[in-house]
Amino acid sequence: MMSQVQTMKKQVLQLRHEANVQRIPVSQACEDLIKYCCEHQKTDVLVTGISQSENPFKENKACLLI
Amino acid sequence: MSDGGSKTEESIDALMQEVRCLKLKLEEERKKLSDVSLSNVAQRLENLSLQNIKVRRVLKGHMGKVLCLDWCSDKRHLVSSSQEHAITMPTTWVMACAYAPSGNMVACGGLDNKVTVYPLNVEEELTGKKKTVGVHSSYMSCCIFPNSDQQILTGSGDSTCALWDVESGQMLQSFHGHHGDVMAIDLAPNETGNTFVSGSEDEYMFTSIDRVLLSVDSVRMKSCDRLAMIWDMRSGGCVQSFEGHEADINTVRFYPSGDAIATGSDDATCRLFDLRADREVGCYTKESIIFGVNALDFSISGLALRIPPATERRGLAPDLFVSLSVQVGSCLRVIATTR
Repeated sequence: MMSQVQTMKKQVLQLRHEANVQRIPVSQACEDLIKYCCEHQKTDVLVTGISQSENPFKENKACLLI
Repeated sequence: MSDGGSKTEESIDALMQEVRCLKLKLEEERKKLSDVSLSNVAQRLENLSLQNIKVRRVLKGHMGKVLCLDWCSDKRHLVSSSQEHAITMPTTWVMACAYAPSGNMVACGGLDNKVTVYPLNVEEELTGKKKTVGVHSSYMSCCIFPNSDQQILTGSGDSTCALWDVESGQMLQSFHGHHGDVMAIDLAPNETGNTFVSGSEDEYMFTSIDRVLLSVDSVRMKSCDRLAMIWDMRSGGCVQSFEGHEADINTVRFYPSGDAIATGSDDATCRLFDLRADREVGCYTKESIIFGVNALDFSISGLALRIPPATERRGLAPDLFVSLSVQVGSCLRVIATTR
């Protein structure tokens, strides 16, 4: 029983702490997330691709013997 | 019933009441600032056309399912672990592995409950130089080197995370708060590097006392709040927690700016939680995706969220490589299906 009380007390303390967290509006948070994306998009290989000269895994052209 | 008993009952009652009030308050506060949705804001952006992804190398050697891998900082080496019985490993399932920042050692662990380091710069046999750094009371599910070779952060099935000193094997900090197995951890990318996130299979236990039917007997109600928690590494305290997933969280990752986290779960969704808005800002699903998400990662810009295949566990062909990409805030689609 006592341990239950202690667990509950801990939970209350944690919730109090979380209730006092400073928050910003979602609109502002979204703007910041999108801004970060846009700023770093140029260096993102998944978005821009990788040039053949820089690609360590590029496929070598097969030799043609005539 | 003695006086002591009824007092406890009263105080539990009062505590229950406060928990309820605080939860409501939290919900209200979060709602108040939810003025738009990320998907609305992101609508003004162009749709991404992501690069096709090709398989360039197939690395063979494991005999069982590969559970974890990590890159070396030299970008040329990988460490991987699997659920087979390897000669050098002490256990059958090695659930987690991590490369040290210097590239000179790797850490791993799993069903042996331990986190063990193997130095890589020795000529002799690896097993002779291995060293157990820490021991949990249940399996070790994830490990990571925070910033240096000197410390290891682990997550475990015993519902805790722990920070260990590699040299002495001492536990520097433990993190209590989860109620279920910790499945994943990730470090904040910020230069301070003092926070990390953990995801778990928490099934929150609420204790309620039904005074009409049972005088002091407690009734346990399970509400399955699968939590992602943000921790302060110095104090060991939980800073924020996020709920929303309907099943176990398998994987967590910080957004590259450090302002948000993404989670992947057995409920077949990925979610994005913003730390500063203190709430969920995105949920990514696709009708055809019915499997749990086992791993995810952001691209460098944070624009794409990559989810590797999560199908093998359910018995689907493991060689059918399906990779998915999510544009943060808008849609989810398959970008490469290669055999």
